[in-house]
Amino acid sequence: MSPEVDERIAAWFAGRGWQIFPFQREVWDAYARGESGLLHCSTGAGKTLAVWMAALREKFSDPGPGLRALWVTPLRALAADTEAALMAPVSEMRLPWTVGRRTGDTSTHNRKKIALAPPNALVTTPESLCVLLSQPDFLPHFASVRLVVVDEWHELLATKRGVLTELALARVRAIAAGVRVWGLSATLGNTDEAAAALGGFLPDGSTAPMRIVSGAARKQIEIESLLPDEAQRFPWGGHLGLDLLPKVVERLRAHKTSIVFTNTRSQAELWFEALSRAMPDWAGQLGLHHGSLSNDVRRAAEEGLRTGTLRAVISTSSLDLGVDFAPVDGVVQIGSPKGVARLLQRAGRSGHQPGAVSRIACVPANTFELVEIAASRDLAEEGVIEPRVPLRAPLDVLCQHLVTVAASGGFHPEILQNEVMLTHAYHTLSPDEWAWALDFAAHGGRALRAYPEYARMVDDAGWLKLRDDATAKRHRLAIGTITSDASIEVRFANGARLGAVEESFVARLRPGDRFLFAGRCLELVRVRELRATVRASRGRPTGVPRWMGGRMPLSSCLSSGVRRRLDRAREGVLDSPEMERLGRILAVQAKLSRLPGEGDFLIERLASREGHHIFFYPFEGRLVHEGLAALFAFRLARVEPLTFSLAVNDYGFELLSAREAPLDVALAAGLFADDGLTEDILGSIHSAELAKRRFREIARVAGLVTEGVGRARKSTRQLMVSSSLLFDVFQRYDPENLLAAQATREVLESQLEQTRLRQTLGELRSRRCEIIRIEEVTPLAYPLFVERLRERLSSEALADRVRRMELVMERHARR
Amino acid sequence: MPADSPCLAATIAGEPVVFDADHALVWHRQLFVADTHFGKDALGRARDAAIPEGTTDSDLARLDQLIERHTAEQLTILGDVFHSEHAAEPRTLARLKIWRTTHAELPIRMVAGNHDRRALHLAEEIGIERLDDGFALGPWRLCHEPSDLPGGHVLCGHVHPGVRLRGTGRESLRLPVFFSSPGCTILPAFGAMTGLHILRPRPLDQVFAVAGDRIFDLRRSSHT
Repeated sequence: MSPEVDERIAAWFAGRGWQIFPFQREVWDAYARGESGLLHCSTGAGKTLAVWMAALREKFSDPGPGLRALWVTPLRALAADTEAALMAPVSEMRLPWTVGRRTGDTSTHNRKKIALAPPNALVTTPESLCVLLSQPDFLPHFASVRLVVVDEWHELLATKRGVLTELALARVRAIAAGVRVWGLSATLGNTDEAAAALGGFLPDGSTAPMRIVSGAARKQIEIESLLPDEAQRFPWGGHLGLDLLPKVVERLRAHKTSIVFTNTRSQAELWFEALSRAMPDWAGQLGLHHGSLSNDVRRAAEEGLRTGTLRAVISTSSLDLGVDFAPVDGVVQIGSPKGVARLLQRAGRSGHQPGAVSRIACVPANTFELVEIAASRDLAEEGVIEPRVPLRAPLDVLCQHLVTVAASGGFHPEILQNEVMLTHAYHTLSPDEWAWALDFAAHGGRALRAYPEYARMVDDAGWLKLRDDATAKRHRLAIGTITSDASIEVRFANGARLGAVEESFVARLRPGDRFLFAGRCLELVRVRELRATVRASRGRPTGVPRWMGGRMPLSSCLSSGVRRRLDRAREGVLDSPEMERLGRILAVQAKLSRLPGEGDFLIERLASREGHHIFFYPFEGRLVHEGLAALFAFRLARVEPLTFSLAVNDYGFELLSAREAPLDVALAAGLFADDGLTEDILGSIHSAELAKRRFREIARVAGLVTEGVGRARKSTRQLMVSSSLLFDVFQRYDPENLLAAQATREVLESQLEQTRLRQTLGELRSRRCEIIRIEEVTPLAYPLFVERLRERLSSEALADRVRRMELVMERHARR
Repeated sequence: MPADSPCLAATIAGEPVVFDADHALVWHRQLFVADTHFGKDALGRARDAAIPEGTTDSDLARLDQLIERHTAEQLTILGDVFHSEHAAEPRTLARLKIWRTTHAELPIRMVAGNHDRRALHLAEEIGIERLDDGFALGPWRLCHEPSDLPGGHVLCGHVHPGVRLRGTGRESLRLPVFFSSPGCTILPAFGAMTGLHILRPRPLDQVFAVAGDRIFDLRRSSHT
């Protein structure tokens, strides 16, 4: 590297009033030596420049033609900001580098331009990268790539999109010799594993070396709770905590610019509405941001934050990531953040001035969330952060990848198998799994063996290619792993787009009904095909759309922190404002039942008008509880035929049955036993039908069903096959289908966290089991008692159930 | 009728009928089913959805059993016999034709449903006689969609009717049903690739639900 180049870079930093951080030099040097790596830090800026400047230094004033750097970002909404961030040093130092972006939002015209003459640096998403990799004409452009950056790698890591990225990287490495891959990530509990997943393996079978660079020192973070006044009634199980609205208003007024984070989109809508009502003087200075809003609405909110024209934006995780908004000096978190990493990330969205403190004020949604806030502060101080575990060998993503590569001009199966097995995700792929995926991708597998005309690929002297261009085109439209349920576009009559809501929500509405969306009260005019036309309304809304999959489970780090806090409370230690405030309710719990200590397993039994309730409190997070609830219900129902309805939250779960369940017999027979665990879970999830739901996503990713886009989408919908029906058909007529097996495996591992479940069972066996018969609903039981979303599990004969049950009749039927 | 039979004898419109848990209605050795949606799996495959084969075979085998069990002298399909013109896909069509020859003596008839519009030529090719919508047969009027046609009790399909049952402990269950209102009885959909549309009965409606291989008169059991 010429000293002159480094002088110009140093001058540019100085001109901006910045200093070059040691970690940035560390990345530059490592990159110059040809190393790949992972740069992580908990909060703060400078990551982008660390890798970007490394690439610029290499060919400072002479990038030449062709693609040199690929910048993969998880959200297409971030692509524009990233492009601007890359452009800034280039234009200010007057370098001849060109920068462009290619995402799902890019116009056909610009796509063609990029395909003909790609820029030196291209910002893209994992999905768009795969589309580029599927295009035979574009493929040669990858040969000149020297650097691939995967931004916000922690966001992708534990997801199928992460696996898609790993596969794409393996492709790029095979085409571009000597390419270096750098990941940018928030600090995780498993940084080494995050780096290993990005690096993959070398052809000799050894782990690819990855340099791990730790970013700037930890920023100071203050976590506090907004507490209700002493006299105020505190909801035990209510979902919103709008009671604390005045406190939030007070806090927002004290900040210059704030982001208010909620955990779900419906909450964001509700809080936006409530805050607008509470602060009429801030009309026009409040913004709303979530994933279902149209691009225009979201951009307006981002722009308002950047320029400081908005005083506050109510947002979901859609603003967790991305380029920093300098004016933001305060963050409010509605509801428990459910994890330490998320709390730190959100807190880090404020306080960007050097030396500034990041502040986050948490608003508990119910009483017990106060414990979570206290516990997350404990853990943040101790530096304990959750790991994100990369996925292993999802066959649906592999099937999709095989079609992608076939579309790019074809492949030789053996060569591609070796390439795929260099990735972290597929390193242990078995020959059988490979053969099955190949057969499925090429010929549709066993189901379609009799239908050669539906084979997607043709064999050209050992080289597998797609059968025609139409198939390739359809595949490109379907690339990706993010699944959404059928959604309905919401528009005004003049055509202005507001965003999208789920079909199931619109299906319940009639013209004239009012609902809250995009921060407005809207009246439904009509629904035609996939579009809902609305008009603004002055009335009170009667509903808020709910989007599926909104709930985040309590992380296992945080749940152990919660148990530690409760244990200390039992001994009378209430050494935080949150715990002090909780004292009275904890006393009620202790009086009506028990306050569980770290070594206890509390079980409460209650008889009510609704039936016989058993409440279990393992404090292990929603996911593990879902598995435990199904497992316990299954094992109880094995003792005698019973039907349970299950309710689950982060602290425990409830089994409700019409007759009293034989708990004592089941305990004696090994309710917590390890023996036959997998079989029992499988038995129970079959009844609970979790796998069916999982199957929809898997079927789509693998190309088993194509949802289609635009006009094609409508025609696909004529199929009207629900995922559960499809799953049934597969179980019966194609029992060897590994995708159905994958659905089961995914339910076992990611949905029910089988490994953690097994650990939990072991721990429950060692805890002291306390069964208390309660007369009244306790504070711990209350949120479960009122939960309406329930799973069911039954061992009774269908006929016996039908005899017991009652027909749901038309409500106001009078003739 | 033996106690473990999958059938239930009942009276609708003053006529003795038998409900079969395999989604069929029997009246004087005449067999009625609705919404077979043949070719739905083929349509899926044509759209690159790798739907396994086997649903058509299994549906035809169920029809075989019904014909035998009730020594049927006639079979009538109340519309949506074909899901789309994709039923003309060679293998599906060949299967249907072969199946037809195994019941060469049996008159098979249909009324046309909304899904049959572009597949009606197949009926002729296979050997299914087409009746007009509203065809009068004894006390019945045979239709695809529910209606209040005068001059007889309407037998129809189209809706894929189901009901929801509720129990204590917030238990709930969805079941396919024969849904009988004054003047009109809707049959459950027959095809394996069909879903359910949930109806809420009114006081005068009769509901016969299929629970596995049993059939239940829900109104009677819920009143006792």
